[in-house]
Amino acid sequence: MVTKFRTLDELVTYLKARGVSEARVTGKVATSTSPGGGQVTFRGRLIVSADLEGDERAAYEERVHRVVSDTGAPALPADTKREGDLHAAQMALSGQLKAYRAGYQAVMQSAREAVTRALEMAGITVVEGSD
Amino acid sequence: MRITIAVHGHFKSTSSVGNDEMSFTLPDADGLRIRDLLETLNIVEEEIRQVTFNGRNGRLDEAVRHRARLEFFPRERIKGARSSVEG
Repeated sequence: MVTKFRTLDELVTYLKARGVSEARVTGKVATSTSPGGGQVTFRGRLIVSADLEGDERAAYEERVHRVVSDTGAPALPADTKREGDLHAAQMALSGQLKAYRAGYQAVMQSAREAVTRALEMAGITVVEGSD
Repeated sequence: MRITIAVHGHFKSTSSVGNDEMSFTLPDADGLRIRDLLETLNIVEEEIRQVTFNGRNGRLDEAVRHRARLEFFPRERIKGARSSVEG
């Protein structure tokens, strides 16, 4: 079961009261593209979670501000079909990754560092998720 | 279609995906397979230990479809080795 908190402070207070000193920070980014792929919109979230007893967890989700990026990619024909599908999908993926690295990756990293700093100042150690 | 990709281990620093789990919107592509994404994601096939497709073991020749969630797990790197050689 996951107990969700509205603010990071509430989560930290809860964890400290229960003697929990470790948390994970996970980033998630959703992209959406304009028709033709010329613009990519990024919406990011940071999920701070900590394991409690048993299979219980505590979590807080912070939204990272939305960014609209101009990829400069030429518009793809709306009727791209069959043999062109594969290339169009690869191009779309490449364009979104390029736009992400050009700006939003740094936005997410900055948000992650701010959350990590706040947790560490409160005495919570941020650990890597298990692979 | 919409697909979600996450990478683990050293792929977080070596792939184009990075630390964050990412969801992409792609044109529908009947012939698109997991293997077709690797070059764009900057993931070397030989370095993959496991790929999961919607939480189960996946195959690189498997077709990618709407709402696919892919996770790539790398083989462990040997300290000091420049590359690993498969036997």
